[in-house]
Amino acid sequence: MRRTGGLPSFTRPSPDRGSVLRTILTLFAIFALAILQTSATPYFPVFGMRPDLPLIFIAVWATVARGSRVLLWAFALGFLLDVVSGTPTGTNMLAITLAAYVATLGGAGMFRTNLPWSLAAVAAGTLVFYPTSMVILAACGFTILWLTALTNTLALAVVVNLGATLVLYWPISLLERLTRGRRPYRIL
Amino acid sequence: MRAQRSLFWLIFLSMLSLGFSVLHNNGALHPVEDLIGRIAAPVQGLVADISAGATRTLGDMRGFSELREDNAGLDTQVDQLTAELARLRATERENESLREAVGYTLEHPELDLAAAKVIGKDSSNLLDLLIIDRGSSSGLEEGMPVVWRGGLAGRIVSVSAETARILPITSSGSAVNVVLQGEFADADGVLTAQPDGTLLMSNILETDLVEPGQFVITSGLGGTFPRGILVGQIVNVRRLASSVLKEADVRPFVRPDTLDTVQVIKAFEDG
Repeated sequence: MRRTGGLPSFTRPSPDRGSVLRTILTLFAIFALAILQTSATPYFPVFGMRPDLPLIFIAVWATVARGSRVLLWAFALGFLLDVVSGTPTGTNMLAITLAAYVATLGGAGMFRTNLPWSLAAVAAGTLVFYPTSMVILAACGFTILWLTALTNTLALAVVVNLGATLVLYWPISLLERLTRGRRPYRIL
Repeated sequence: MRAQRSLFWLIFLSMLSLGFSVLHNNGALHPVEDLIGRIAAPVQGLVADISAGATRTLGDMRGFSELREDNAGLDTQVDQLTAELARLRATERENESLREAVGYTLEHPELDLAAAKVIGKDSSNLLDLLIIDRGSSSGLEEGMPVVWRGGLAGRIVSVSAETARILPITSSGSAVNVVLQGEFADADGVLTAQPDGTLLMSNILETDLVEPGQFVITSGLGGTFPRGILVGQIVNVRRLASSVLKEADVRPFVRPDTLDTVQVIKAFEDG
């Protein structure tokens, strides 16, 4: 019996068999996402914009997974993204972690794991991700065209990311289930 | 309780992000970043090749469809083509000038060039950084100019062991000192990016003669770029109402979003 957050819980008698494999699978997934974002999406722009695959992945993941681990994966993904994309280290780390946190807000509920909620999470995550990135990049000395970025870029990014979410929701949900493992049942 | 735990992790990871940012600026993270870069660069190159191939295939398919439509109307275009011939002759003369400008780099052996492949772009839609598969191990350094077929593409803004990042001239943070090529070579100015992907040549004196069609080359001022690299062509000139200066729209010779390979100028002689 394990207690989580003061609430009574019941744990399946399951060992950690496969947890290493699941972690490796998740690490591979976020590495692949970072590579795809830098080396594949630029060749397939939609309305001149690249869908933010890592952001979509994390936002959807946050809505279908439980707990705080999504924040850790968001942090790791942000770090990888910063390193392979050349943005100042810390930019994507902070922006995606914040976006992931926003995506986890809203509380638990039986309607949490549906597509509309994921779409809302992606939209909210995008609205947090871009301004955060812009502030950090500006602080790092990059020139940001604020008006253009906040009107055209951000609005288009929300639309493009929502469209991409419609395609990516089910694969991400499947991956989350594959890497979920067994966990306590909560009585709430 | 879970919300509190998430908030705790958020604050903790945010602080850690800022810490990583500081470590990056101090150079303490470079070994880790270099290691990941060494692993990621070949994969990025492979993915970029596949993506570029897929894009070309899709383009060819679209092109084939368009070709069939074009063929249907070819008969009626024969007459128009005859008229076009006259315009093409004028274009040919323009191309000769262009070739002369492009040949500048090739004709200057003092430029130490290193070829590199574009293997990616920055992750967000906010910057337009290009990632190339050459880094400090190939002798590249921050600030080095980058060209493509003799036209200016940008400059290197950061370098790791196996990769480097290029700030293209069409990116919002770019500024290039330029001068007009040819008869009105005394007209100089500063080129900056515009949101639509064109360039803006500003700080042109009202007395300077600037006309659409003129070529813009680097002036060499500031020492960032060697003098004489082709940057673009004037397409429009505006007189500012409240100033003694003019500005001009410039079509860049190099479109960074289409680049597959580039050349980095590792060394050049000033002036």
